[in-house]
Amino acid sequence: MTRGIASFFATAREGLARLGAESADEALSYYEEFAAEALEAGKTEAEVLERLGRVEDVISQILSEDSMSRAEASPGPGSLTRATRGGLGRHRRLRLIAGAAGRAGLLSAALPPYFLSMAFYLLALASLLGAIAGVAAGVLAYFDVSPAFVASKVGAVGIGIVGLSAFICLAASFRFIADALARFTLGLMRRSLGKGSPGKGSLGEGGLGMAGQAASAHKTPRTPRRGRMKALVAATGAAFILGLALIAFSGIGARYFSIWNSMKPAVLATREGEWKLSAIDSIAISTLNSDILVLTSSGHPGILRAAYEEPDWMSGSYTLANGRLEFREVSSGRLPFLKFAAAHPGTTAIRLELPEDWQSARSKPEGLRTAIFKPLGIEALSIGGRVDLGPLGGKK
Amino acid sequence: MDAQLKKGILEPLVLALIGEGETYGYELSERISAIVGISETALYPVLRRLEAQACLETRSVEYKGRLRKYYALTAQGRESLANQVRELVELERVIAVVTRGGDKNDEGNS
Repeated sequence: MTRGIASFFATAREGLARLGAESADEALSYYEEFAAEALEAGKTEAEVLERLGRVEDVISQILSEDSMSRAEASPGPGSLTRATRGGLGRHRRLRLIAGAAGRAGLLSAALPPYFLSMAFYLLALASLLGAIAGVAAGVLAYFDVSPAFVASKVGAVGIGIVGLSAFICLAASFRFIADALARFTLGLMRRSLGKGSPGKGSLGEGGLGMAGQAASAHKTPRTPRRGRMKALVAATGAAFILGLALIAFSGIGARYFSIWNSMKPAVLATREGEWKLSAIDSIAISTLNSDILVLTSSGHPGILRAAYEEPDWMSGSYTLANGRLEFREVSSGRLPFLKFAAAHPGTTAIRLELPEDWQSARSKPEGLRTAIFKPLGIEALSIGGRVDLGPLGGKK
Repeated sequence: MDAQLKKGILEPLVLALIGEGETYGYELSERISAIVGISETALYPVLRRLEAQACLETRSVEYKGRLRKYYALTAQGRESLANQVRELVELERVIAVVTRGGDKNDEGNS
């Protein structure tokens, strides 16, 4: 190979360095074979170089083709931007060529779908953040619910699954649309760049024309992409239904609706009950956010009075079995982001009137919540509601 | 010949010439250049595309210490060529009408 032609390919390799040596060699192998054959056939170096055209155009064509092929094989905001930038860069050179006005128009037409595609990529990203928020809501709800309320915990898991699956499906849909728009954008660019003249002369003129045709060679088959999309929709759809089933099973959804629609209950119902203390060894109180256990002095002869104040959308129950009086808040629906509703005074209130010699034994604080106990005049606080324990005959 | 016409004719021409028998890049470009006067290097993207579309199959043979790439038509390539020939036959009728109009104009001017 002559010095001029060797220099041509050395320059081309420098220009294609970012593709890597192997890809650059592959892209240039045709041209090198052509040059070698032409020299063997008796062409002069000048004739061969004339046919190869400007080395800058060869580099530009290969790089642009590479960025477009990558964008088509793996659409995304980054690859699409690089391909568009590459196309516009080529376009700027094209503008200098007489008669390129039509091409400029077509290339400009690729910009609106490009920006639309980028908008959908942003929506997909926002949906992914939504999926994270959905999972976070489920996790917070799970830990906000007292261990005594297994169904509500299951419901919290359901919330996480529904949030995750719905937003993932949404993100995938936005991504699918964005990818389709990206391919459309690349198609428009190829169409515009593909109208270059394939006449005699430099590769810059002829090659540009052919670049558009070469485009379709690298189109990614759509079937696998659609197959993946279908599989994802099926998986997220199944997860969504499972999450909904868990929410429905736990009843947390209905409670959420009730709470949402009764932030400040208009009516507080009061239930009262009286028990013989000799029949009670301990009192267990389970609300959504805390479990409280009060141990009694066994065999105390007095009467215990307990009152449970409830808004109209909540209910509780007292049971006495095996020496244990248990209050259980049956409707336990409070979601973390509705704490403001639950924190309203009177939303949940339990009043126990205790004999003076009774002792509270232990509390089980949940997470960061603190349950404060004193031997008497006890006040137990929970985030979701309020449990007041006071001395017998006293009213707080 | 107009550049766009050259571009349109290039792919069926490549398919047709390779269909006549296995050939390599330089030989093919020389033959095409002699017919439509197209830039030899403009051929490369067309060959790449046809190869990727499985219209062409290739094999590399060692020749004088380097590799020479041979191109041959596949069944899909033959099918593609047949489709393009049908389109060109339709185009031929259009060309005939256009050419007749041109002849009449020439007669009127003379």
